[in-house]
Amino acid sequence: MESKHKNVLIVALLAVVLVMAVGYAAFTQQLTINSTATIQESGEGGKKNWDVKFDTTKTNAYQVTKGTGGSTEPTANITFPSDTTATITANLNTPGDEVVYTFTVQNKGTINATLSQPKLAITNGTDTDENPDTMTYNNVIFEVSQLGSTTLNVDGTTTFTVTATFDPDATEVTSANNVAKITVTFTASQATA
Amino acid sequence: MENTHKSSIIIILLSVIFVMTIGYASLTEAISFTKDKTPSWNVHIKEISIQNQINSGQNIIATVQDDNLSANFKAKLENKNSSVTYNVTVKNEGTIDAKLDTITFSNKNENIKFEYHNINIGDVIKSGKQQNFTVKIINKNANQINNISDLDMFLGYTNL
Repeated sequence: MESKHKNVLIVALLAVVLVMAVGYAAFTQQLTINSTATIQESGEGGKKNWDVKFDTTKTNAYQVTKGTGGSTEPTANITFPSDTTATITANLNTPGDEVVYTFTVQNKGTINATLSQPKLAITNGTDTDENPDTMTYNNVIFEVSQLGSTTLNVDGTTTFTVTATFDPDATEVTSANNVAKITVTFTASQATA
Repeated sequence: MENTHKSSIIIILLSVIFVMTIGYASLTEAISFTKDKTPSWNVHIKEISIQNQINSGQNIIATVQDDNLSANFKAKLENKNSSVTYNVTVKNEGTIDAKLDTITFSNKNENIKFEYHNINIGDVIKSGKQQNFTVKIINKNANQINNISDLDMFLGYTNL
């Protein structure tokens, strides 16, 4: 290559290096990204992301049956102190008296849920029943059914029942002992994918 | 300048350009990152430990149930006023802040009583945080051989 041509090539290569150096410098400046990510507390339409709860409108969802020979009609009551607890009262008088309470659990959130078997609790007394599947308080035996479904997807509902029956082995049949008040509760967790 | 020197300079410049090209190419790779913003719900009992055992009160076992929001406490309490105090830790490992909706106990032993402290309805556990509270089980009656508590606890949380 002639010397003149080499001079031109050298100048051209120097120009390329210069341009690349400027571009290189621009790219190697520290890149800083400032970003704030916010986990939305609510989903579309203002729905809570996690909202699994009793249908608290169903305060009359119970069926009363009077035992044969009974003279006094059994009575019952349902209240919902919170989204995840219910308080039920049963006033039974004779063997054969029964109340069946029906509870509806609904998923109003945006996350699918898995429900655990509902639990019964006596908040002001002692469960004298040795059977783990039932609960006895005063002269009333309570038994909770299995859930209709343990999977509760968004906008879904499921139900379970609690049956109160008069203890056939009751020895002190008084108006005070014929009344029992217990708590019904459930727990839920996010469903695994 | 001699041709030899010019040739050397050209080779050097070409080498420099080659190296810069490689570096340039690596810097222009797309920068991408993803952030998972999917909300998740995960509040659970993380741990139950013994805080103290008084007057020969003795822990037998404290069990967290499969739903991770229920527990059972069994303690041997043979002397009157003997007690066992448990420390319960609840952790929020989800992305959604949680509020305590209910704390319920069910007692199967009429000879014991129980107390709980440092937790109230409405308490909030923010995402990533935890709350500690205590459950104390006490023999309320006279000395009894083989007096064992059987106390269930259920916790219910809702979206703040």
